[in-house]
Amino acid sequence: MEERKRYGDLLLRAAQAADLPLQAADLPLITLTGRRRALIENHKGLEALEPDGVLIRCRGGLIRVRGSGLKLAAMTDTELLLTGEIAGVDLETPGKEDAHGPAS
Amino acid sequence: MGRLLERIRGSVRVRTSGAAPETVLNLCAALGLDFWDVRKDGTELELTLYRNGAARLLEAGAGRGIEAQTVRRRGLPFLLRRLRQRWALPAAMALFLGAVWVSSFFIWEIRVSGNETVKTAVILDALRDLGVHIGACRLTISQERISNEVLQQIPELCWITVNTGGSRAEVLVRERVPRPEVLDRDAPVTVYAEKTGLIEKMTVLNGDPLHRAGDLVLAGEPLVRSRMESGSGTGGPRLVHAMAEVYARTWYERSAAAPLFVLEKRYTGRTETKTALVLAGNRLNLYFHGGNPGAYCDKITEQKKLILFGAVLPLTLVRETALEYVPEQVPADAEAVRAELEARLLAELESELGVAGEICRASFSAQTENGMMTVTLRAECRERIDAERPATAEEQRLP
Repeated sequence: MEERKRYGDLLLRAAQAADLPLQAADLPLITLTGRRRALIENHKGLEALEPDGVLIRCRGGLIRVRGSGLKLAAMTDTELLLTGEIAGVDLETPGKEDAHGPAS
Repeated sequence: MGRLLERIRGSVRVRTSGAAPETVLNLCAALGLDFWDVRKDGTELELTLYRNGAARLLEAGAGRGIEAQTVRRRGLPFLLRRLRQRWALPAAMALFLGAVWVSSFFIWEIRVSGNETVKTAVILDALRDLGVHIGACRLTISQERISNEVLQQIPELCWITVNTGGSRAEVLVRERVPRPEVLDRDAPVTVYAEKTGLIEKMTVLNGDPLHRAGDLVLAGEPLVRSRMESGSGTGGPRLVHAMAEVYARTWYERSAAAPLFVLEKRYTGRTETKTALVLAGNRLNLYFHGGNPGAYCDKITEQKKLILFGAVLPLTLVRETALEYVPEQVPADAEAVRAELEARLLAELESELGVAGEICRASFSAQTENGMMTVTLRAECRERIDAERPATAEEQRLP
């Protein structure tokens, strides 16, 4: 686990040094279209799928998409598209209850 | 577009259990399978995949403790598989499509446009003689031959072409513009009165006038003669083409009659509908007895041509509906009849006068006798009465 974290940090520093977009360091990229669509790139799989909240694994933690009537519109091994009424997106660290704060 | 692709590729609705729904979705994503319409119900998951995707999921899930069962199959591949056991249906479809393809080489509809005075039936008759008719093969149509032959047969036409598109032949024609009459200025011509009237104005352009304004002339009487004396009086008389514009007062008395009752149709409610099929010009009646439901009936005929993907097929559905009625005599409104007769008489007179004439005064009188109303129009008009005719031998004789 520690080794993976070090590898991730190394990727992040390399991306910053090369002036590359941070998603090149395998970090998740979240794109919201109003409150109707959320596109999550570089995900690592679904953790939980409920109509009022979807938990998605990503490098360095979890992404929680809150809302109502959430549906999984499409999913590939790197991209995931959610539709519905999105109330907010939280970034969570595994093992910690508190979120880093809503992103939207 | 997505729906169409789904139907063409074939889709399978799968229900999974035995593993967390998220695990199944992650597996689909890892295998690169497209899926949609995801529905989670507790530990069960329903999702739709393409046909080959579903097979891969069932195969991969078996080793991971995922129990999957097919709920529904939909799309062209499954339809074709079902049809494989019923060979007659696709064979009939292939036969039908083959027949449609073959029939597209023949003409099943002919449209004629561009003709105003020449009747469509005359053109179609001429074309039939040259092999252009319903049921003719369009590949044998020779534009050049049709153009040469039809223009000889119908001299009123100056151009014709037949465009064939699918089973439809569009015949375009142009009519010959009549050559205008050439005025022979040297021919001895006399101007005469076409109608009886009182001359109001007379403008003589050539010739010797025999009347002047204020004269009363009878129809057929010469107005300007072609024999003319030379201006100096030394050259002797000569013959010219007399020309003049003569306006005169004319009087008309016209009558028209109409019955004071009208025949109205009272429909009995008895109708009869007959259906027939016209296949390549041959009628096939789909009824057993002909004739009409009664002595008097209105017949409404509807024709529907069968068109498939824009191609006209040699099949027309004809539906004839006969509505029986009883004619009844109903008294007409006398005022309405009179107004109609007056309007008709005025319209007839205006048409006779033409654009150069006008009605100065008009009065009507009406009388009723034996159920008929007769309206008489008396009108005073102003119109041009001159007309030309070749001078007679008597008129041409010079001293």
